[in-house]
Amino acid sequence: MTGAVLPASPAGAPGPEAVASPWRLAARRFARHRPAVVAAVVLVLLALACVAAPWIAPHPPNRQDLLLGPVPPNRQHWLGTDELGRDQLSRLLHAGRISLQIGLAVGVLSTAFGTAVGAVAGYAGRVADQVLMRITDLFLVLPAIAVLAIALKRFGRSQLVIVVVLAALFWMYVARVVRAEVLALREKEFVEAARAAGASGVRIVVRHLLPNVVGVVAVNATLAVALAIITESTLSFLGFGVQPPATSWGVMLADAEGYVGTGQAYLLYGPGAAILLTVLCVNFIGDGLRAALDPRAGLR
Amino acid sequence: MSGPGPVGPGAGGAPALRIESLGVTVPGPVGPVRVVEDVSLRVAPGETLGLVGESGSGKTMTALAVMGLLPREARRVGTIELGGTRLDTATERDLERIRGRRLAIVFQGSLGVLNPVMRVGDQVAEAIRVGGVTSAAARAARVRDLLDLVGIPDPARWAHRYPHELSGGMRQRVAIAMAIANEPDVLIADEATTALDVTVQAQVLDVLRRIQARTATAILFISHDLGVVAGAAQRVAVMYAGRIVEDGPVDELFAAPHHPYTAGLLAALPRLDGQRPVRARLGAIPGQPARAGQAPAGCPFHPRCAVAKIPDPCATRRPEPAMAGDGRLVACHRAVEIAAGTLDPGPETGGEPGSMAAPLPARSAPRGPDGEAPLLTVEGLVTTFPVRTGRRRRPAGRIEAVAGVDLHLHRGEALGVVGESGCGKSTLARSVLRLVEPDRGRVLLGGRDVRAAGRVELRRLRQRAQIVFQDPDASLNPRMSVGTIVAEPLRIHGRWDRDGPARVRDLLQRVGLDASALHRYPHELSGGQRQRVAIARALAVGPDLLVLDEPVTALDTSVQAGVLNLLADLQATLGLAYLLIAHDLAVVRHTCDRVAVMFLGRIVETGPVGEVFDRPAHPYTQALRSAVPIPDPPVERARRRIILHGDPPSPLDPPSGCRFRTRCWRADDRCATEVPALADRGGGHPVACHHPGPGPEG
Repeated sequence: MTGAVLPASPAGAPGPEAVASPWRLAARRFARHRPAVVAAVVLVLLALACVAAPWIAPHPPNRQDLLLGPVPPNRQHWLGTDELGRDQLSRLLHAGRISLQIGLAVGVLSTAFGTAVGAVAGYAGRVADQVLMRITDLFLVLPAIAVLAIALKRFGRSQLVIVVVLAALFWMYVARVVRAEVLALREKEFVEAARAAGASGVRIVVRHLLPNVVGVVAVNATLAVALAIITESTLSFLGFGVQPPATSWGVMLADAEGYVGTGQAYLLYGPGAAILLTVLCVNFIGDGLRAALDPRAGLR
Repeated sequence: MSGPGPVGPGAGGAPALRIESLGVTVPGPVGPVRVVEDVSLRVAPGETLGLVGESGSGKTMTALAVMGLLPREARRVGTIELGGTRLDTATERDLERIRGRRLAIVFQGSLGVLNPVMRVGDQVAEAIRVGGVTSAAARAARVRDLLDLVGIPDPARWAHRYPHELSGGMRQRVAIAMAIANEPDVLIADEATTALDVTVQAQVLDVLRRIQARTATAILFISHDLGVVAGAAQRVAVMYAGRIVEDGPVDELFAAPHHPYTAGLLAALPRLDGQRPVRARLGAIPGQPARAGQAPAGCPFHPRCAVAKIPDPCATRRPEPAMAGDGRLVACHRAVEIAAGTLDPGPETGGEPGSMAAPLPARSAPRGPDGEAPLLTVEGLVTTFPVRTGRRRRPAGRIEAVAGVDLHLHRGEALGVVGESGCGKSTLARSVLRLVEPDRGRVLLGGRDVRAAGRVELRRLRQRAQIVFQDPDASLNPRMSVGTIVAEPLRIHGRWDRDGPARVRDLLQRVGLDASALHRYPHELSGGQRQRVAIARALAVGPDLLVLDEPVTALDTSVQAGVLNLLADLQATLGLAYLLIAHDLAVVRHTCDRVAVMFLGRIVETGPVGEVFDRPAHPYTQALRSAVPIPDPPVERARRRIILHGDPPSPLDPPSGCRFRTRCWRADDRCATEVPALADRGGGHPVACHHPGPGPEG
């Protein structure tokens, strides 16, 4: 018996569940990060409530009741009604569908694009790197809000346009981080070993580099989601949000803006709290992912 | 510990340093871990005690405990006495007064110890100020003396430089100068020469020896390298899993180790002086070094021990250190039998899984130059890298990492390439496989031109030549399972089919891993196991040539022997050719048929290993050979070392003519103008020197 022989696994054959794959370990570490787990639960509940809005909302979101007018929160209308008599809770749930959709879509789109750009720039190096990174710099110096406003004027204020434009403004951060990671990983010997084995560039990027950058990518994706939700509400504030009758949390917040300091200030609370809660949860989840996916973290 | 303290040369008179029953505990993931347990040591004034052990054995923790520099969360028990002053009970303020004056330490990495924004002279001066020299002029004079003492040429000039302007060897010498600034009673050298090239290591060891002769400093010399300890120490203590397992005078301990672990370590070492039969199997200690704190019950070494009586007493009772004649202390239940000579403590050199049996299977002799065409031919290979300097990273010329190399390698033959860091040996290895693009020259693999090969052709050629890297930690993708890693080359080359899984299992078995490794991930394996996975991956596509780039450098001695044995087995059974890149001459002598010695991008001498290492004709080979420590104290003490002065020339601006001439004792005008060609100059093998001949140390 020599040292090279692995000790027989205790208690029978090592089934697939006995395997401590890096992903399984990451899941275990994430589960141990309390705030992240709580945030994930809260966010899932919130998202489920929004998705189920058509069925669980107490009132149709846009039904006006002009005779009722604005009433503060009560048993009938938990978050009150606006001056058109629309139920705030119902509106909030429906608006959440759009806000969360935008956040998620922007997160996925900008992360995917940024990761691709960063990976290509980092791995290809030389001219490709220079060109891609100068383009990235260019996007970074664009005044985001102005570009958004112009784009929305030009292409209309559909949800799709908002998503695409936001994604176009957020991908650079991921691209830079991924490029830096890939630059470091590219020098690792396992990449050289793959090259020596005859692996193609695509294979090296897809099989060897990308799985090793998921950590930073995941963390940045959560940041992008939070940033998208916030920027969307900023846009709404400036009058560039989604068009009625559709509404988002940002639009609701913008609508309520005029009531600050009046008796109808309660209109601010619902959308404000929803945005705050979502962004907080997303950030906590990002923290948890950072801890879980850091290869230097403890193994067990 | 209740028994008597170690008795030896260090026991007479008052020891400079006395450690009694030292224990160190650090918090671990599942409760406290004892990393040092019941360690007792004495070092007499003027004596050097070698403290030997593998990674994780607790050597460094012992040193830090003595210095009072343990991590904050560590707990310490036991007595530490520095010439009558108790250190374990001293307050932090007392310790501050003692450290740097009576007690000093030199660490492995000297870059971290020196402050990068302070001139080295000022840093040494600061160390002197601690000792109470108040006049600036006196300090400056002392700085020059100290730098001169540690062998820094032109001390006045170098004192004004910053650390990054010094080479690694010079920085380490500055660190030593700081440590000895106040002539401490005790100097701890913690792997102080480990990161250095052998010729620089020889310089630094020489400095330590001279200082000790002058000031009668007691030195605690911590190292994993038995060869270095053999030459540097009078007494040796061997640590395993946080405990001292054997402690005794260096000659006796090396000649007749009483603890099976010591015996195993010595049997595991390849030797440069050819004291081991050619191609003999090294004595690999089975298993992995037990990490301190995770040691099994009973004797911590028993699972790896060849002579353990299991279960009783070795697996049940901790052996206490006991006297075993000739001033030696051994912690082994069978020490009495071993000391009496009735029991051989050495490890079995038997076969391993995946190999046939011991001794090494005979292999067909490599075909000589007159046989078939070589498998690999390299002609006039030049590989350069751009150098950028200054703030704007402007290209400032190119470094010739490989500057015109010719070599050939036959099927089934092993060629070693040796040289010090920066000599271009790794670049040569990578250039052969076109992992870096060579600038000029030809590389023929099985008659095909590697440099001219297109994409498809190159992929095909890469099935014939594979590479194993130094650090298995970095060369395996942490997110892939072992099975996936080994299968990948087959998938890349479209050779993954129904037999794939069986082939992967077969490969793992060949490298001595069992099938349960398939679903494991690299982080779950030990260093030696990981390197075996890397070898299995390299073998997957059935190459003819393996390029081995420092394949055992990152491994512990006892594990290294197992991998070297495996490489020898594989070569014998598969008829592989090896291009072995190594800085360790002994490994090359043990594994290879021929060797090429590189200096600054050129081969300076090449030939059969026996000839080149026993009768080197090039001054550089002679200096290199003389600098390699040999784990045999009487032999080591009797050797005359060639100490090369100064530092290696910069590859950016290599000397004209012969590149070695600036450090050569035979150099004359011709060497400065004419590049010596690699040719047989009567010594029986090719040498690139205008003045070849036997070296000064014979």
